[in-house]
Amino acid sequence: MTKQAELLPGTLDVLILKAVSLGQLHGYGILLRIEQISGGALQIQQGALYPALYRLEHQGLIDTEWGTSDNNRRAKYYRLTTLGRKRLGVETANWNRLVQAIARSLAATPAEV
Amino acid sequence: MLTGPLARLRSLWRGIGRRDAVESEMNEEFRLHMELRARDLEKSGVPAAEALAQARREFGVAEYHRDDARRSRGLHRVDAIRFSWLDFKLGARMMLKYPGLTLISGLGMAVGIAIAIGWGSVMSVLMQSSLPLPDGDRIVALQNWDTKVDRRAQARAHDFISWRENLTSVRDIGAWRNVSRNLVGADGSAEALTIAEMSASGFRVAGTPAALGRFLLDADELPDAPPVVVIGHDLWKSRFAGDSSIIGRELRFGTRIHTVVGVMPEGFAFPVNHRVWTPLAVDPAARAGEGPTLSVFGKRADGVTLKTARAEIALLGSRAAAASPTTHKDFAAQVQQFALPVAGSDNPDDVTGAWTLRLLTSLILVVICVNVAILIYARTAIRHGEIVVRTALGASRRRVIAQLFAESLVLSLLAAALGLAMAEFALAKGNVILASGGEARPFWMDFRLSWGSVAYAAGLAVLAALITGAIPALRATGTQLRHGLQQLSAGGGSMRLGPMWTALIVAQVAVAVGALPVAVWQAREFVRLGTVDPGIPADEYVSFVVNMERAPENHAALYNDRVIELARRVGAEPGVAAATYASALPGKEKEVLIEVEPSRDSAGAEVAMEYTRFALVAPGFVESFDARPVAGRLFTAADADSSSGVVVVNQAFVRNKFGGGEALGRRIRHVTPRDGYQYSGDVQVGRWYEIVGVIPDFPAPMIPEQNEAKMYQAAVPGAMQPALLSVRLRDAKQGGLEARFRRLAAAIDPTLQVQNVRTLRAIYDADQQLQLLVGLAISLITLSVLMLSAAGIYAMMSLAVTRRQREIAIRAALGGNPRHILVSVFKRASVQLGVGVAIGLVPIAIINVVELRGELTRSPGFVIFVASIIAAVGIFASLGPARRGLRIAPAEALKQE
Repeated sequence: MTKQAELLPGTLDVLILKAVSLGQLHGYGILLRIEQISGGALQIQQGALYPALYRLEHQGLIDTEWGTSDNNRRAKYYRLTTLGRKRLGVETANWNRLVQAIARSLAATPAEV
Repeated sequence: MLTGPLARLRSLWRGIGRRDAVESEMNEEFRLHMELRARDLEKSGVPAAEALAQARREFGVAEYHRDDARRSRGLHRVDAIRFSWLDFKLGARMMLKYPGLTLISGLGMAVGIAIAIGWGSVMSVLMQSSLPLPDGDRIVALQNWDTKVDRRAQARAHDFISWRENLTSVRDIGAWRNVSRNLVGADGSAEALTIAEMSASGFRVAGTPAALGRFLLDADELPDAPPVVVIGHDLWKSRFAGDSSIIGRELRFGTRIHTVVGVMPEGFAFPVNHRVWTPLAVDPAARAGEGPTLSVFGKRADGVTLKTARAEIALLGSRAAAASPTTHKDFAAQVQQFALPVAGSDNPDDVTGAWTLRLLTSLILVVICVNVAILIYARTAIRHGEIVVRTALGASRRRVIAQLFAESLVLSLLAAALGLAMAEFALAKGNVILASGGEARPFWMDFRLSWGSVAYAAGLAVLAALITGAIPALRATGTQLRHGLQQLSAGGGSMRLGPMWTALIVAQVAVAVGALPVAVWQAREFVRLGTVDPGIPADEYVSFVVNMERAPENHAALYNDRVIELARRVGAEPGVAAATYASALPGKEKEVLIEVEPSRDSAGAEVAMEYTRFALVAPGFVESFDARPVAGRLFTAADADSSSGVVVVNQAFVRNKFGGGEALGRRIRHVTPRDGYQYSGDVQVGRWYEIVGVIPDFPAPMIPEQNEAKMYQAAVPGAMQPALLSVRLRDAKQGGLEARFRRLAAAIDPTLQVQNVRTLRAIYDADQQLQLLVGLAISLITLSVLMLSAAGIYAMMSLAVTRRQREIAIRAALGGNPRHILVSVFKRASVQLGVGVAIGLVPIAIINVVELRGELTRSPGFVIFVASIIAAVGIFASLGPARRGLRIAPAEALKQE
């Protein structure tokens, strides 16, 4: 079983953007998609998802439309906007730079100092 | 690029405007989430009965998530100041609970809003830049601006032709001028009409087709073209009973016959307020500065901005200045929106003045609102305990402020509605006064309230509510609140009134004493001018202007003979006591610059030129108003000769120029500034005239600050042009005078026009009604500010003493002499009032000397009146609470402590 990882502050937004970049999803679907793409390592506190979704919609990074869920119920679907796609690109690049920098820092040996 | 901000706006709008729908969607979304989670749990083996409960537990409290979602969109700030109907209901109840406060504050704010709205509406009409015609915003006026004297200089034929031939940014350039002609009927009747002699392009610019026939064409302007005329709808209806066969009919204007070629549709009055149009023929060979003055118009070409058009004409203007320096060196050519020069709004100084006045009118409201805020603050102080309790029960500061703001908004909205009604009344009255002035308004000018005025009133109501509600609320819920909570727990619960309160009382008294006496004096002055008896039986006089088409030769001599003959014939009419003429009616004399001999005083210093009012009059004119000389003599027939060199002055002239000394035999001469409009030392002086008589002052002044010194000179009508015929009637109620006068004039000469027939009473009424309206407005403002000041001082002083009631009671309980206690209370009140009055007297003394030339020293009653009211209010406000304090039983006071 995959070990659960703590979600870093501020990372939920970028994970949501990534999840909806793979296709439009309703709220619960986004939760499942994040769990799925993180290999079950990341679990989101369920209720906390919605304030983040509304914040991203407010910023124009995601857009919504009403559709029908697979249990044949009315559901609100979220999809990435052009602005959201740009933001995802920027955030992904930032994240990768940060990870590399931290990884490099952590791998440093006395000889390299 | 705007996606982000737009999305935020949309999200905010949905959150505020569609709050219920958004929350319902959120609930639906949350339900679906929990159901889907329960289904997955069931699939993973959790019993169905438990799955939904577990899903709900995992989801958490939906209420919190909903709040977090709103918070994440910044809506919590809006939520904190959300109003409920209860706030407004409470506001209405508060109005009923404090009727005195409601009445005084409501009326005060209504007056302030009415003035701001009234002036705003007048200004928007005067500054209107677009005409109500197709592409009305592109219709422009072309003009010269005399930079030396900073005013418009009328264009002439040369300018018009130059602009028409060279400008590309303005098309269909045309010109017009007013000419006055008699429309003479077959039966000898005559009607003086103002005709627009206008280029045919005017109709293209106006973009309105004729209702019947055609409008003027360029070919009609050719020198050999037959004379044609286009008439307006109302003339067609009133004079020709809407005859559909009018086209082709011949009309006689003076001595010339014109053929009707078209009738314009109802309401068409371009360029200003015209109803008859004839072609304008302009001499293409006219030289700069020659020919008749013209008003030039055109239409901005498609896609051309005003800026581009202005740049192009400025270039032409500078070329004209270089080519014709004698006439054009100080001129700058301009393109203006068409309506602005007509309304007199093309001078940047006037525009700045109008905006300043708009700001000042809004400031009146702010001043009134500050007074109301003080009153409301006093009421809020009484309700402090309620605010403290609400806060203790969990109401946020924003919520309390929102409630107090909503309460004030109810009052200010009501005041705005009343203010709108007042403004509508004043504008309607203004329209009537303007109409009685004799000249028709430009067709686009109608002083009335618009939806914009209503929106402006609503904005002012919100501003008023912010000042009167939110500011006292902010103060009442500030740092004092914690202190209030502590007091509440200790059984107290009242707001502290610190030195700020004393300062407010002193300031309020100072402002009332410093400003109100001047306002009361001004209001009384306007009302006095508006109701004063002119001192002559104005109902018995009818006057009219006599004009004549320019004769090819000897015009002045012909005009002279015609007017004298007309005066003779009118004088011989039954019911007419006398008919005489002058250049101006009594009270309407023009102001001129004169020099009184000796031009150097005994010390050799040059005596300054002085202004006096002046009229040329027929011998017998003064007598027709029953004026008898108080010294010397009146004019004889021989004095009308231009070589006679005598003048008659009034008593005000003798008082002002000679300090009441001997006037007969003194000499006066006219002074004309060489540089046109204002005296700057370079003058041309006329011949000397000797004063041969002094007459009483008449009529009584009806216009503020008018120079009352008057000088009369005898003259013949030819020197006046146009002369005003003044007819004294034996019976003031005669009908049909206008038609009779016109018929008499047309019988002498069909080109002799009788214009603007009005009784002297109507002329004076137009002036006086305006003064009354201004007086009424000042009275209303003054009364409301006086009431507000008095109420504010009462509320503040009464509250201050009320706060000391317990102290008074304890002092009485401890054996203090009631008389001494009362004296100490009054001493404090008197000091506050005294300091306020002393501060207030400083500005009033300055205004009295600088602006009113000691008027208030001569009538100190105004200052005493206001100061007495304020002092009485202050003393009365202290008396009641102090007496109540003394009446508290000593044991009760000590027990409370």
